[in-house]
Amino acid sequence: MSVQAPSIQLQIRELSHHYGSKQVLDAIQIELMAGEILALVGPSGCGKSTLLRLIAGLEELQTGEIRLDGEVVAAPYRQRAAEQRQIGMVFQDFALFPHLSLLDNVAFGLGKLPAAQRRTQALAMLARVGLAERAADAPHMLSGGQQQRVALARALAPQPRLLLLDEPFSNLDVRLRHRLRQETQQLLRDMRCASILVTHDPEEAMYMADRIALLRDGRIIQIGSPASLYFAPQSPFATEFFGDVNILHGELRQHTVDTALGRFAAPSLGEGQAVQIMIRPEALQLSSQASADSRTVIVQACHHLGAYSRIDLRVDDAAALSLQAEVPGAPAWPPGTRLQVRCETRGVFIFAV
Amino acid sequence: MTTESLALARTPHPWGVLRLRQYFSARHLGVGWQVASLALVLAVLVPLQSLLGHAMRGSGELWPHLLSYVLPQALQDSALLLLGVGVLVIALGSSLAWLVSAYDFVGRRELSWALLLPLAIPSYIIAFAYLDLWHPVGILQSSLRTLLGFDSPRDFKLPDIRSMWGCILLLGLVLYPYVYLPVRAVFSMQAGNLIEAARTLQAGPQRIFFGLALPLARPAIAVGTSLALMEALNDLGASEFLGVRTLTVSIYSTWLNRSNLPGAAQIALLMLCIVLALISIERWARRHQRYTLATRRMQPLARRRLTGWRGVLALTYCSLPITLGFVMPAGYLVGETYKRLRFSGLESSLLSELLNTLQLATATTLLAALLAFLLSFAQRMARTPLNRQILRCASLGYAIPGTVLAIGLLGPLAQFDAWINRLFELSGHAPIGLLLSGSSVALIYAYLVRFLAIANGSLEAGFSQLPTSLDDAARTLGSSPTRLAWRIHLPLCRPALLSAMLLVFVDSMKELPATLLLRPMNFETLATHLYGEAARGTYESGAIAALLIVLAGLLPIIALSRLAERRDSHGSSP
Amino acid sequence: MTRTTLFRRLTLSSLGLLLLGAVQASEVNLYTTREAGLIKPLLDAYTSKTGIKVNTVFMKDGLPERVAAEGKQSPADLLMAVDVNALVELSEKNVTQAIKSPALEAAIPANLRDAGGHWFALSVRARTLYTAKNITLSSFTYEDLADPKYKGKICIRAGQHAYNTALIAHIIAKDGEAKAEQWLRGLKANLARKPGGGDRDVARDIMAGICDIGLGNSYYVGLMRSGAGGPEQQKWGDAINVVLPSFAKGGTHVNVSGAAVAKYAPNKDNAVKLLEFLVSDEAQALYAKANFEYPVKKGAALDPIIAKLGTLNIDSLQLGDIAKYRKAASLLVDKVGFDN
Repeated sequence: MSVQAPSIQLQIRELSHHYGSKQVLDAIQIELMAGEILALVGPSGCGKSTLLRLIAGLEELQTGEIRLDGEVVAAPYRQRAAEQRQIGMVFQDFALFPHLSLLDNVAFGLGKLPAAQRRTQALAMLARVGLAERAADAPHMLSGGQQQRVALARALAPQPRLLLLDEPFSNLDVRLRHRLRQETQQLLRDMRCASILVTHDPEEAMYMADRIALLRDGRIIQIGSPASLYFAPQSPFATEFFGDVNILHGELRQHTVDTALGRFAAPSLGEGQAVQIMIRPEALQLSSQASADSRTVIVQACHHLGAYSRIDLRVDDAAALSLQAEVPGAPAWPPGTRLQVRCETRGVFIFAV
Repeated sequence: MTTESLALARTPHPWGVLRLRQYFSARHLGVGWQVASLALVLAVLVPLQSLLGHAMRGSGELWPHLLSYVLPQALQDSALLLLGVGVLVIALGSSLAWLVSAYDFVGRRELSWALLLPLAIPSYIIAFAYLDLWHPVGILQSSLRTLLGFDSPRDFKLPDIRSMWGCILLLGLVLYPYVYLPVRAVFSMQAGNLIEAARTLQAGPQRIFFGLALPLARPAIAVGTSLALMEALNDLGASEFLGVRTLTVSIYSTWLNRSNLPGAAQIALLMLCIVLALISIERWARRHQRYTLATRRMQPLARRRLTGWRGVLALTYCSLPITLGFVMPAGYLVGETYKRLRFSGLESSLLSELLNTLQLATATTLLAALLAFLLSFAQRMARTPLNRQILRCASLGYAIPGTVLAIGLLGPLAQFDAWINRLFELSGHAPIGLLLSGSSVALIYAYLVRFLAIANGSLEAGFSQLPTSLDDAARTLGSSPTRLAWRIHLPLCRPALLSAMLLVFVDSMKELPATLLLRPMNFETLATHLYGEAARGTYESGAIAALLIVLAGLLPIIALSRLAERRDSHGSSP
Repeated sequence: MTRTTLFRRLTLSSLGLLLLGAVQASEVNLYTTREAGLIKPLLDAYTSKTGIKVNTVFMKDGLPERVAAEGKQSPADLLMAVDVNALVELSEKNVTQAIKSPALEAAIPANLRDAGGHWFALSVRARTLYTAKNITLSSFTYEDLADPKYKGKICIRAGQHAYNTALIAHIIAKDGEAKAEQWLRGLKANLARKPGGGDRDVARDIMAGICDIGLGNSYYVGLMRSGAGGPEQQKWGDAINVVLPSFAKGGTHVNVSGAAVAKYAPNKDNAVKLLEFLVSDEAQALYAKANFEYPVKKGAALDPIIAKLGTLNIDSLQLGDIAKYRKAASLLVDKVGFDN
């Protein structure tokens, strides 16, 4: 068995973009391997959709360079039109052509093939998303989830060199979203299609993607595997973006900081530095037994959320700090219960203020 | 989900800088499209340039006179007329569109297309018919007097219709379909989910209409109203007849009585500027509104049933404008036609005149639809300020009175002919005489310059309802701009295209002033025939021609409503 | 087929042009602001007599502009207009040519044609007074219209209408602008309603009791009373008395329809022939019959309805000289605010 080194499918170099005087993208660098799924995440207006449109060729590139399969598809004044890039795209509103049947929608991108072959391929693609028997229906007769599947099938039918998904699940309800992202991921994996997914939902990004690029104000502030973004965020912003945190404040003394929850080490920061300590709720471990590094907390409320529970706590000291912890199962602590809490360092992040 | 799309529709784009995007258009547009639309606009602007030439020749000492004796009155009359007609067409057009879209009552289906009928009545015909019907010795007041027991008009008479209010009323009655048509399209095509969302939020019918439906339909109302107002401003037939001295009347009197064509051209251009300013103000006022809706749920409104007295009330309200704007004048024409037929029989020339009229109107309609589609498409593909100005400029012809426009065309047409003849002479051939001047081509050209605005407005509105993501989707699926236009935009713009064609067709059928001046020899349309009768002082004899105009105008209205109904029933099955 | 015509045809078809009224050997092209239906009997008679085909285009305003624009290539031979001012304007715009024709000069009184032969009147209409049935006036002067005793009793069409500016121009020509203004103000003060509508509306309004007297053209009386406009109009016509007014010093104000030969007329001879035919006894009688106008030629037969109005004594001023004041008349209407 020979394992080929994965080739670079998409390469973006030093890409910047302005709308008038406002800079929306700043020196973006991305490399995407064949078959890889990359998620672009960030808050609204961070530039992720613009980046997607630039890659697709729907927006004119100003600075930088985009290569697909090693070939330059966009550089200033040298751009290949969107229709010549062989890049598929799934839109937030699905953008199904309302006057065409599902079959015709999916066959739309197969224009160069003979009619019979076009039909066969489109049907096959529809079958892959489980909608073959509805081929003759009009888009408005479908549910939202079905429309999303057709949009995906349509984008994939011409076997694009790259697939772009612009918030493809945001118009669906939660359960459907979960199911569809699973199906979509499966299909992308099966077809080994390099993909970029834009989303503002960190969970979706972590679920779907091989790598995640976090954008803020037009810059990629961190890029890496889902685990690295969750467990090794490099900024308070990244930490908070991927999950709730408890925030404590303190000042470094000899590379450690004392807090209501104990002493934390921060070897890389300087003496006297004011810091914030961010602790994920699941890093707070609760028990009824005291240990050497535990602190006493008082239960304020328990919220059972199915597989796990959120517990509102207050530290039993003068400052009466409020905390949230996440524990498995559904413990039944009445408010006022006194518990012991200790922190698992894997979920604790310390940043200079 | 519906509330979400509501929010989407109403909020301005998250980036305030969205408009700046137009400077960096990424939509690669075939150079052909761009050049074609530019050439087209230049062709449309030719008569305006020629008018400008007339205006530049200077009008001597005329302006002090105009300023002290003519323009104050003309501006005041025009302003009053526009205000009155504007209020009337908006009130009638939008309320009627709402009634037939949001409610169901006995006769609704028939009324929803019958409400378009007044379109077929030219303003000069309704003015004449009412002048006759309403006159103190006419049938209405005579019957009323008999009813009330008066013997003589000296004892009892209603206010004279030859007045500002009469002009406003009559023009409003024939022009409200310009608003009704596009607004109904908005309500029936895309408002469904929003209004249902509002209903689930316990909003009452009034709040839904004023708070949601009206703002939603505002672009359509704006487009329709501006067409109606330009028509009112340009109208000569009704206003001259009813003694309202608008700017247009003063343009004519300056040209013909004050013998000052440059002065007339100057007033016409002044009027054009006023129109442009009004349109710009309106557009500026809704510059932040984006009403493009998501594709997924373009669903028609589920109609509420009105029964009992509510149903009767709705029926009565909808029948009123049809009765006043169509049944009365058309009935009057039928009556006069009957008398005329008994008197002298049918003129054999009418058939050829009908054919001429239909041919011209058909050619104009097809060309206008094609050109407007091309312009709107080019504008969509490259939303540059230049392209937007191109679209605006291509609509300027509608703001110029017909004869003035025709005067503006005379020079350029003759110039073209002179060049061609020069070319023939240079190549050693005998000159061939006039080619364009006094030809059907000149007429169609004039009609296009006049009525392209109607088609543009309709198509621009139609395009604006298509989410741009459809274009993006087609492009990423490998579609060239041409294929995008043909496979996506054309079929999706069909309703807009059809209503554009209807309006252009009916307007071309009625066109009189430019036809009179530019037509070939021995060539009559129904409108010129009618005018001929009127000029001879036998308006009543023109009743047959007038009736034919009305009947020929009805055909496309009925055809269009059929199509719309089919779409309705087709589109509403979930 | 010669190469020239082939080339011509190819050019035409490739441009997709519709050329109507293709070139014919014996024809004459008529541009007219006189409604074509009215003169059709005359033209038909001409064609049957001479075999010359008449092509017509009827237009309302802008005839001079069209001929001027068409220039040397214009197919127009004869230009017809229904107002002396329009005829004068044609010659001023330099689109007419001088015609010397003893037949025309003999038939048309000198004050009803251009001295240089650039235009010729063909028919005459008088500006008459319509009164209510219960009013009988043996004589009336245009000046009387300003008499305060008619306060609130007069109906008239818009002052800017050519029928009225022609009359006002005539008054200016006779009495000067200051007097004319005084007269116009007096007339305005006497109006029963806002100026507007047509001349026949004056009759109808008199019948409805809106006013007692008003101005209207002579031929409308014929159109109404003959029943040509239907039974309704016949009633209006019968509801009025008609008086032929005159100026205090002079005769009745008339306006004319007439014609001029186009400067670049391709069929000039035919045009002159047509003109001469139009002043023949036969044609003049047709004129009178078709539209109840006064013939321009002395001795031609009148329609009986018009003959009953009395003897027309046309004011002697040269029509061309009156037309010069037309613009001043229009400005005066503005100044007085006559139509407000």
